[in-house]
Amino acid sequence: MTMSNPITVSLELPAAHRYLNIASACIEALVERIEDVPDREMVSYTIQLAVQETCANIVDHAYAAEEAGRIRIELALEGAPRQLSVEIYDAGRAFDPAQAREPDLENAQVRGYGLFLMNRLMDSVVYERLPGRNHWHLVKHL
Amino acid sequence: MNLDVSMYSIAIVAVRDRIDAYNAAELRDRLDQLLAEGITRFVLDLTDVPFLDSAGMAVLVSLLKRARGAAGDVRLVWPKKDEAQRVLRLTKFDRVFEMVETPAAALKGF
Repeated sequence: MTMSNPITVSLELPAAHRYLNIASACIEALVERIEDVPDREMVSYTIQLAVQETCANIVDHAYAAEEAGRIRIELALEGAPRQLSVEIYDAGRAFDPAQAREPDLENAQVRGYGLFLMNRLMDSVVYERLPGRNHWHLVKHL
Repeated sequence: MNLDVSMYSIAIVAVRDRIDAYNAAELRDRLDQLLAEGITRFVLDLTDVPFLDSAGMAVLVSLLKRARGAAGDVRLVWPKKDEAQRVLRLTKFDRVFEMVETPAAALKGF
């Protein structure tokens, strides 16, 4: 796979937990095709998990069980610096960062690890509210 | 979900699928059944779990709290995938749960 031009892959999923493994499979297949990735399996798993957490939050909170919601995911392999960026869009309710608390790692809790894991696993996680939709921008250096 | 359940006074639950936001509910329901049957000591064998997300981790913590609330406990067998192990370390689950290498090791002194 050449690194001179960005390689892009897009998919759009129903906003339901049942279909989120499709994004994982897509990321795994794409990372398999990238040449010379150090620690390839860890990188692949990391991106899969970050995307899974983002999308699960969208299903649970942005759409809050609304059945007709859609999630658009755009993967872009870029060359300089080499990185995989992930753009995730939904048309649900806005994300409220004030509601997202860091988990207390000394006392295990049932909720609150999703955003924590995203921030720890990826090199960049940025959220922005656009007119009528949410946009998550995730980056992993390769 | 592909589950293998052996019943003693300790339940050894071997999970062989992803534990994610989709199928976590099925695992939680099965564990709830075991709790309702009076089981309070659990070994969750994660050896063959290929993928674990925060929804799956929520099931583990929920079980831990309820088991300990009933004077029991939960021991986890490490997943063999390094990537899944990393998630357990990042979240410090490896300190909250007693982690073991094999189901047999989990039974010692339990």
